[in-house]
Amino acid sequence: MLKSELGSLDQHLVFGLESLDVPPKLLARAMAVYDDLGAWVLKHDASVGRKEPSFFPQGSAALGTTTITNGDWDIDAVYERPLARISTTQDQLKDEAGKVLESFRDDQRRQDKPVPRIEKRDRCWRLVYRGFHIDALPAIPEDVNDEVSNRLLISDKELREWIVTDPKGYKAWFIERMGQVFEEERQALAKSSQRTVEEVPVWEVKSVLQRTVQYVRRDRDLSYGDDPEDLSPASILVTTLVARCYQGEQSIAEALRGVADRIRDHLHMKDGELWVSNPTDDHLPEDERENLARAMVGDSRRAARFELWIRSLCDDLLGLRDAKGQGLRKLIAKSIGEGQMVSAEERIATLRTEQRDTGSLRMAAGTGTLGAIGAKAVPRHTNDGDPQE
Amino acid sequence: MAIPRSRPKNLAIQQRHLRSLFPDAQCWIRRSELTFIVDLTPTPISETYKIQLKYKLGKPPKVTVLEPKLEPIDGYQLPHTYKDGSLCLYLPRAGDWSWDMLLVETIVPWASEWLTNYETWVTTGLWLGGGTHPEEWDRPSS
Repeated sequence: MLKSELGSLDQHLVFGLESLDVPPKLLARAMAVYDDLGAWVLKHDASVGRKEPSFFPQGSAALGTTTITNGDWDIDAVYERPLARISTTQDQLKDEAGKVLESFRDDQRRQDKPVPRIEKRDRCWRLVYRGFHIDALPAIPEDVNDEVSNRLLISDKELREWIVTDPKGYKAWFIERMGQVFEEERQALAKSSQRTVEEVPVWEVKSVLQRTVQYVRRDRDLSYGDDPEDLSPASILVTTLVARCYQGEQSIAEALRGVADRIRDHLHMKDGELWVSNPTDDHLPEDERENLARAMVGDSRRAARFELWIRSLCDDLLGLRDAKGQGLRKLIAKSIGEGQMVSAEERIATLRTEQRDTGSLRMAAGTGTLGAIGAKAVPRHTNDGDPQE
Repeated sequence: MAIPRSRPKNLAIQQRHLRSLFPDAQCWIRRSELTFIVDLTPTPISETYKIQLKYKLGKPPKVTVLEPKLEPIDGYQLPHTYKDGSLCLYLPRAGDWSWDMLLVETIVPWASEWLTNYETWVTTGLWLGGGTHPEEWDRPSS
C-alpha cells in the first residue's frame, strides 16, 4: 500500500479511493465466475474442434483502475479466436460468441451456480450478475500469421468495417507509464502475500498512477452524474490523458498537480476537432492513428461538455494544491464523493486514536502537527463531555 | 531523588518547556498566571489556528482558539467546549491531567488533537475524537 503521512492529503485520497475498490467478497465471487467462464470458453471451443482461443481481461479490470460505480463493477474481457479475417464476418463472430456464452449459462445452471442474464451490446456480450457484469468482447487477430503483433479486430453494430484494437499493447504502455513506483508496489505486495512478483497481477497493485486514474475517473463519473444523454468521455480517453501527464510522481497529490499542469498539453486540435491519439498507435503514421476523442468529432455539445469538465477538474486540482481544512475536504468530497471523504476521515481518526493509545502518536515542535515523528508523545486522554462545568 | 508525583510544576518550569518546543510562540507570566499564544497546524492539510492557553497553579488550564473563529454550524453546538468557548480537553478528576505534568506534553498536544477532530466535525458532522459525548453534538453531514 502506498505510504503516506498521518492525516496528509495523500492519506485522505488513498483511504477515500480504497472505499471505492472492489470489496473482497465481490472480488472473490467475480473471480470465480471469470475463471469458470475462461475455462468454459476453452473447453467449448476444443469440443467443437476450433483452434484454441484466448480469454483475457482488458481495460480497467486489467489495469487496476476500476472503481465501483453505482454498486456495479464492470469487467471487460476479450474472447479472441485465432481466425483469419476472410474466414469469418463480424456478425458470425459475434453470434458464435453469443452461443458459447449461452452454453456457459446453461452449464452454470446445471451446476446450481449463479446464472447470468445475457445482453447483446454494440460490441460485446454482457453477462449480468448481482454487483458486477462481464463484457465479453469477441475478437480475431488483425493478422493471424503475425505472431508478434497483439493487434485485434473487433466488431461494432454501427460500423461495417472491423475496428482495430490492442488491449495487450495498451496494458504494456500503461505499465511502462507507471514506472518504478509500480514495480516497487508490486514487489511489496508480493512480499507481504508470499508470492513471486510475477504471481501478482497488475490489477491487484495500486500504484500512484493507478490511484490517480481512479481519482480522475471518479471525478468524471460524479461530474457527469446520471446524464441521460451519456455524454461522458470514454474511460480509455481519461486513462490515457492522466497516464500521459504522469511523470513518476511519488504521491497521488503530486500526480494530480501534474494532471492540472499538463492535461491541456495532451488535448490536441486537428481540423478544429479534439484529437487524442491512442498510445498503441504511436508507431503509425499520424493519419492512421486512432482518435480516442472521436466521439466528440462532429458533436459540439459533447465537446463543449468535455471542455467544461476539464476546466472544472483543473480548477479543483489546483484548489487541492492550495486549500486547507474544510475547503480541502469539500474539494475531495466533490471529486470522489461525500461518503468516500467521510470514510477517509473515519479511518484516519481511528488510526490517530490507535497511535495515541499505543504511545506512537507524536507532536512536532514548532507546529504542533501530529504524526509518527515529533518531539513529544501524545498521552491518552478523554475529551470531557459536559459543557456545563 | 525522585520528585513526588503530586508536586506541582511551577509556572517558570512550564514556561521554559513551552518556549523550548515552540520558540516562536508568545509566552509570559503575569500576576501568577501563565499565558501562551501559539500557532498550531494539527495535520499537514489543516488550517493554522492561533490558540491561547492560560494557566494558574491550582486552576485547570484553559485553552481557547483565537483565530480563526470557531462557530457552531447550522445551530449545532460546538462539541467538547465549555460555556465560555474554551476546549474540553480532558475529563476532570479522571487523572488525565494533574499539576505535576507539563502543559507542553499534555494540554498542547491535546489541543492539537482537538483541532483535528473539530475540522472533521465541521465537514462531516461527526465527532471522531471519542470522549464522553452527548448525542446532540452529532449533526447531519453537510
